[in-house]
Amino acid sequence: MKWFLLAWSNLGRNRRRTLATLLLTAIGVTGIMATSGFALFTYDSLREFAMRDKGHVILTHPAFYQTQEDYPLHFGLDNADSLEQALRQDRRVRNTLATVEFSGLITNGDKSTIFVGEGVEPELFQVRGPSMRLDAGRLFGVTHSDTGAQALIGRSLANNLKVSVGEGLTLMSTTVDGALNAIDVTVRGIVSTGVPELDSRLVMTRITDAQRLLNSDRITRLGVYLNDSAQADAFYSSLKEQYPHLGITAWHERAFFYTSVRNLYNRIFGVMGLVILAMVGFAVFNTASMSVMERTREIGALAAMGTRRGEILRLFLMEAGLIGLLGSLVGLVLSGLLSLGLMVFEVQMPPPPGQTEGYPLQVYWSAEMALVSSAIVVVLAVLASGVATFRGVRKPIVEALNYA
Amino acid sequence: MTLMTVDKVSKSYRVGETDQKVLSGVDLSLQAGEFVGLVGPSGCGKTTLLNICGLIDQPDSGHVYWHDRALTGLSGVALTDLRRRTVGFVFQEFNLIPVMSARDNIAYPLMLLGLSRQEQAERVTALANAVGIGALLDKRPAHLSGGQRQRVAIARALAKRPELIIADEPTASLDEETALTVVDLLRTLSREFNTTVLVATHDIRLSRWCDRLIRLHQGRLQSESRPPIPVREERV
Ligand SMILES: Nc1ncnc2c1ncn2[C@@H]1O[C@H](COP(=O)(O)OP(=O)(O)OP(=O)(O)O)[C@@H](O)[C@H]1O
Ligand SMILES: [Mg+2]
Repeated sequence: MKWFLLAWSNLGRNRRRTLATLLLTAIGVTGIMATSGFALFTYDSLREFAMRDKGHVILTHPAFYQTQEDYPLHFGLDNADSLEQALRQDRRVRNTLATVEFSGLITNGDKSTIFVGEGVEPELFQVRGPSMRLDAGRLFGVTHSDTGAQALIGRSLANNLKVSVGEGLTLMSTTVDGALNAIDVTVRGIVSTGVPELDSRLVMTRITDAQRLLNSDRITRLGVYLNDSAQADAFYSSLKEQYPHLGITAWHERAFFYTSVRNLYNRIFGVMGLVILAMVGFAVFNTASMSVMERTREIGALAAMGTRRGEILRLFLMEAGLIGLLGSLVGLVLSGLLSLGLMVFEVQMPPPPGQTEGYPLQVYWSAEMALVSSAIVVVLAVLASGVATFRGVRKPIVEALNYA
Repeated sequence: MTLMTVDKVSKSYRVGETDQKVLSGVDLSLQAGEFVGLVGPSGCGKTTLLNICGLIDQPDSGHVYWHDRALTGLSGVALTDLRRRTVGFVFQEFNLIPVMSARDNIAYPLMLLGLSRQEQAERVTALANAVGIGALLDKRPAHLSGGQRQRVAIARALAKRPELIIADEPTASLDEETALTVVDLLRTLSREFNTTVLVATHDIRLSRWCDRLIRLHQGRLQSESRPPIPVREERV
């Protein structure tokens, strides 16, 4: 007979109670796994989005993110082409994207409004992947056979200016020399980003057209896209050494939405996790307290026969540990089923604040979380049981034997 | 050979404001292999004395000697280990472990001693046959009668071949006929293993199995006497 088997048998004494505690533990672990899995999924999506948006590492003029510019491209990058070429030699680099940020007025001749412009390289759409929806027209092609400047504009902006694909608009802005400049563009496509504020302002042109409007050959920033996101940190450090005179920014430094959501979720789900753990702890504490009380006489008999206090205590700890372990396992299976279920049966989430598109709910099942959460639950169960049974196990033998 | 000596042992319980003296200067010595009956009216302190002799309780004053070695001041762990090796208990309410089979109940003290599986099995089988429950070894206590349970308890107490068995009213929960058989068993087997047995009882009929009968009265051992009727060894 081994202690372990005895502990196992003891779980069968009060099956209902054991099952109830086990189930509560399982639900607790499921809850922890589901919330953390949802958080991980969200972080992952937002990280992916942020990396796609501007690149894993962003190269700028060193003052660009620190100081306000006096005029367009004041803190722009010179010699972007040679920089891009040098970077593309690196085997870790998948691609680079130069961007010119600009703004000004857009007009259809009768009506003007403010726009937020991006001069982009045509590869953008392949490199970024699906980050906006094309409602009409076409995106920029990689081979440049267009005649004249063309623009992709946001859905609401197109509605506002009452234009459709093929019609002309004029972009007005200040050049680097402080002169007013204007270029005519043809609407090539109408896009939706899912962010209403952006859809009413967004204008994308080829980078050369933007540079022509601003009368400069600088760019605002150069986004570097890596083959493997996991290398982002290492690559960032090596770039910092390689280009000490440039502004090198890691993706997460500009991923404000990602960072704030992460901070918020960590806090919310952290508190939820603590509440769940407290519930599990109390359930085990309660079960162990009742169990030790009911078995007082038996504890007395075991002690009389020469069982050490430590051995008796260990028995109770094992029982709680078993409950914690089994509950965790059941919880891990349940949360795994939940993750799988959500992959098969899509559940649509409402659009996040400030966006127009919902997204399918997913819950990651992370082996690391599984290990950590079950380890915590087991340790917690053992601790709770220890606190609950410590006194009962130390009762004087005679008193324990007389216990009614 | 003297197994245990109890020397001027006193014990009182605090009840409310006053101390109620239960044992006042008890002297007793137990010889190896003897079967001693402890009798006396209810509440006279039999259980209290048994607990002290069984090393699960401590006297307020006086000393207990184990093979001429004073146990006074010994740590709880040391006493536990001494009991583990040398003292067996038979309780009135059996106190078997309900989630274990009869077999595992009997083997439990052997597990504490770290005996091999095979050795455990051999001893359990032999004892179970000796107490007549060889066919019931896989049953849990809940599925045994009172008499069968007490037989399991006797086998459990004897399994480690203890030097001393403490039995506090081992027959009080049994019917008359069963009680006699059970005591007879205890008597026969303890003799076989040369185990000292100290048994407290109300039942004067059990006294005929005792080598020696001691009577507790008003906190003292009033008399030591030979049993009124000689042991009937032929009875089974
Ligand atoms: N834990 C205790 N607290 C207070 N008084 C106690 C305690 N245990 C026993 N007593 C008292 O001590 C006296 C002796 O008790 P004990 O149990 O030793 O008697 P006993 O001879 O075994 O009686 P019985 O034959 O009924 O079992 C009794 O008066 C009892 O009330
Ligand atoms: Mg008593």
